[in-house]
Amino acid sequence: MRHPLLRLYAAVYRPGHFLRQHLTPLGGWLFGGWIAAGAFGVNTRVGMTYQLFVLLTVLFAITFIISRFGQLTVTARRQLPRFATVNQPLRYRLALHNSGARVQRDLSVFDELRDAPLFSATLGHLPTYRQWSRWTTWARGTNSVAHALPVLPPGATTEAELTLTPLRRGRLEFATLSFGRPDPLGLWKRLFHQPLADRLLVLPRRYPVPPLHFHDGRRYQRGGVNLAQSVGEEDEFVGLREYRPGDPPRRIHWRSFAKRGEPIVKEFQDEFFVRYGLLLDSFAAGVDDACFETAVSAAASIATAERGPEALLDLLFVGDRAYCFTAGRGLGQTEQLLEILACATPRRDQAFSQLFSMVAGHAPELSACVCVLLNWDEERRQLLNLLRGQGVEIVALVIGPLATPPESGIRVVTAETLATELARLT
Amino acid sequence: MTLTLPSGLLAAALLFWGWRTELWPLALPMALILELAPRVHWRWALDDKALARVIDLTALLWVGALMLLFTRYLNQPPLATHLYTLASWFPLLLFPPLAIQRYSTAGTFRLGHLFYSLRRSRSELAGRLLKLELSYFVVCLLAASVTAQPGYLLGAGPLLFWLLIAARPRRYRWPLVVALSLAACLAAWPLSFSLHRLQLDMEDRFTEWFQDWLVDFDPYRSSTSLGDIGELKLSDRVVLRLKPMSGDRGPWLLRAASYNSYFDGVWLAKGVHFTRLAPQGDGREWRLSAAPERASRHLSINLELRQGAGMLPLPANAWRLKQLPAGELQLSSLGALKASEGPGLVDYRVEYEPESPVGEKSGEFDLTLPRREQVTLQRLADELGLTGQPPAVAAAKIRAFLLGQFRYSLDLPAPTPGLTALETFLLHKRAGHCEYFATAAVLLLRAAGIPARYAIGFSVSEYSSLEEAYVARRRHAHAWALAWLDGHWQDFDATPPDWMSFEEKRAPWYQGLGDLWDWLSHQFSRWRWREATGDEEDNRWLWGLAGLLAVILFWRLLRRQRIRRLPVKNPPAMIIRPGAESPFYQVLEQLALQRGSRPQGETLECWLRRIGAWETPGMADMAGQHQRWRFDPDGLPLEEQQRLANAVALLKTGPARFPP
Repeated sequence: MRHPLLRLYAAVYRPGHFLRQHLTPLGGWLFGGWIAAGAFGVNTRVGMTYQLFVLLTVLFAITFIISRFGQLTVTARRQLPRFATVNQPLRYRLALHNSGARVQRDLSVFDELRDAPLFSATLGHLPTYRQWSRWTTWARGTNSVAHALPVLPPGATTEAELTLTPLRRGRLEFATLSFGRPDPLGLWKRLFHQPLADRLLVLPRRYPVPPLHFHDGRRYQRGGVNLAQSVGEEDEFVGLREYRPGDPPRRIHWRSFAKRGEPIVKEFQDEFFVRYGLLLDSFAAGVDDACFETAVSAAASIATAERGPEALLDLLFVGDRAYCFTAGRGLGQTEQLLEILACATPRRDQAFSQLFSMVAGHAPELSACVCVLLNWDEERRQLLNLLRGQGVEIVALVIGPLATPPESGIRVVTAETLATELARLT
Repeated sequence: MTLTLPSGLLAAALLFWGWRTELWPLALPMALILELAPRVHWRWALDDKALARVIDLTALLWVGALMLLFTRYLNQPPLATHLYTLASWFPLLLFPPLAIQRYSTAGTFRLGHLFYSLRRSRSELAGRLLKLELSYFVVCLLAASVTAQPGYLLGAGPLLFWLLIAARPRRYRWPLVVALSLAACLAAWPLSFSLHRLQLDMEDRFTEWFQDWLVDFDPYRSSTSLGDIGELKLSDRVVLRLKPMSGDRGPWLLRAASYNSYFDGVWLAKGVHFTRLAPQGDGREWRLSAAPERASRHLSINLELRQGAGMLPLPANAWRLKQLPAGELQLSSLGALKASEGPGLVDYRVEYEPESPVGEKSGEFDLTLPRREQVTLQRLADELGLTGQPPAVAAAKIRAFLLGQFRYSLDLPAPTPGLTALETFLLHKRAGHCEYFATAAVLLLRAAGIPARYAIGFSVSEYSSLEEAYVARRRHAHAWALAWLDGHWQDFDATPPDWMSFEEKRAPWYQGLGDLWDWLSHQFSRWRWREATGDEEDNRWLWGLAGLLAVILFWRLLRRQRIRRLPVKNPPAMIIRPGAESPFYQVLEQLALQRGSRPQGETLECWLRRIGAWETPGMADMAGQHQRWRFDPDGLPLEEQQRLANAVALLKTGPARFPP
């Protein structure tokens, strides 16, 4: 916000924002009339428009002053769900309590949100005012829409339902709850702010994906899977046998040794099960934010796809460092993957080669891998070859449109065709 | 949220517009069409495309109206007139979509219909509903106001308040709304007139400011308003302050410049040359001529000099100036004194002796008559019998002629065709302001063979108790004649003496405020230029102002501190229970206080029966509604909630109805 142009935008935006928040619909129209009357009434020698201007000025002034008097005796608590989804209207409840001695009616309420720090510096180029205005709303996460409240009798506690539509994924930071109380003529709303901090995680938009079934079978899981529960063939105790030279002493079963008088060792079995990879390409150099959002949306849709009770899913992507999150078989829930994806940010300052080492380390354990790529170039082609070389079955989606078509078997999807392509994914 | 206008309001607004713009034949059917809509039991089933076409048709109407007005503008500027005409047509040009909205099944437009860019959009913005009634109402009020016909507020006020009362928030009672509306109307009435007066005054101020910067007293040239048409406007700003030091009571004519040649409304100083004066004594004393033999009179004159330079107004026969810190002082051969390189404010003392003539002699231009008016002037001189008369007699006749047969006026009438402005004044109108009288006097004196000049400056006679001095306002700028009588130049003022009172009557009602502002500005200037004027004695008012500011600052700090001290209260934790807001709890609490609380395990009805409250009229119904509110999965309908609240309120406020 250091550029003078952005400061100018903010200076222009602020009065309009103030008026939008503080004027009722009737007040808004009359305010428009007031501006027009001011323009046409500049010359008081011609016409009587200046009289309309003065009349509206007096009305706005009197009602504004009167609206400043009095206090509001209504408090509220927000009851938010854990998650919301981008562009999907979210309904939540507000528990209201009127602690005063008079009936409260004609009140409205809206939530005020903070700009999320995660998104506060992602506007790279110098925008137009329209772009800046949209971006500001987008960074805040939602449009604050005022909702009318029901009549609140004295001492009453009641509930109201509010709706908001998240515009972006990530955390929405609720700062205050603002009650609007109209003045006696219904032109201004005096706002009473109740500090009420809350957080809501907005998940990426998801589309239906058919169950994931790949041809390749189970793979040996070196070292087993920590914290895995007793489902499937795990690196766990399967029986006892006599000691053979070379067995590690730590495998001796001391109780049986004491009972039998000869060394008995525990026998374990290696783990083999299905493990899928979900590779999200976050290297967005030269790619706009909309493409990255499409990629995240695709990854989130695939992460929620049905994959069988014994399959693991590894989400592989590079944020500020390389991450691998595993879900399935008691290790983690799908919703945790979605939470991670909700907070994924594009990387524009790092080289794509960082992904190589991570993928190379995980490839031997993977049966199949779904790759969501932001672009198609030589580096990405080499990555896919690396996976193929390890015998990993690949399904690759490239977010387009692309100038040059990729090799066969690679699907190009856009924001418009994403739903269709995901529905055909196998 | 859309606002529904009360029935009949739009029709009334349209009729008001028709009355104001004299478009009755259009307004009446339009109002009928709108008001009949609720009584007509059919509607057009218009789809999105048709609704968009209505907007297109309206756009075409606008384009046509704009083209028509542009054509008119090309033939007959100015543009503003045609813009006002367009504004008066607004209700007509916006009528088609409103009528369609009222008579269509859709009943409303969408934002997408209005803008081509949103026509195909499925966004929330494009789908936003747009009811046109309220905007149309505002447009009607606006369009009705563009005519200059009086009585606008009498119609617009009631219409606006009809709307406000109908749309008022129900949390307030209507007497408050009516009282506020009336208060607004009563305040708007005088304020609108004040705004009009303010604009006129601002125009004057601006003109004056413009003149101040571009047209100062020019020792070489003075353009008069002779021949201008309209009304002469002069402001009330105080520009000079005078304190007599020797008990004089005025009035004083302070001459700033004089001129000797007239041509077509402009006085010029021909053959003038300036002599640079040398300061004496402390460097702030200036000698204009030799000291008179008799004792002098003294005046103290306080005057602002723009950028430290300007002409100094002086009384006749001034011979010495004191306390004038000018870098340079030049005296013209026609008696004008020009200061430069001085401070922005000067407060000088003038010594003068009216009875002892000093200064310049008569010159070659002082008897010249302008060629265009020469015949008229000679003829008038003959008619008045001036030729051959002694100068004093001739001057007296001229004064009597001008004072007796002419009157003072600030109107500037158009000259009679074929005559100059001065001839029109002398022969036909016989009314004008001081420039006419002074010019006529100078030229008639010359026609009578008396050398004469045209002088401008100030006439000072108004005493201000606020300033504790005589003051000269901008409108006290005056023109008069100088006549060479008895061997020296004498002031010859032939303007009717009532001109000052004439000007006084035209002073605005808020002149007192203007004077106060002038006084404050002057005090500030005195403080600013205190070293130059030697006026360092009294700064108490400044200290007073600083004290006031300190009090305000202290109060603000205190207030802020008080706000900070308030702890932020966290909202109390609440347990959400269905029916927790039921007002019947208040009754139960009261009963528990009076007759003991309900033990656990006893049902509400049993308890109420046991304590004898069940028999109270309405109690069984209230208890039933209360229980339904609490335990019915569907809750209690709002009407019944309200009924329960009313019954509880009646029980609480009415006569005690519990059996003892």
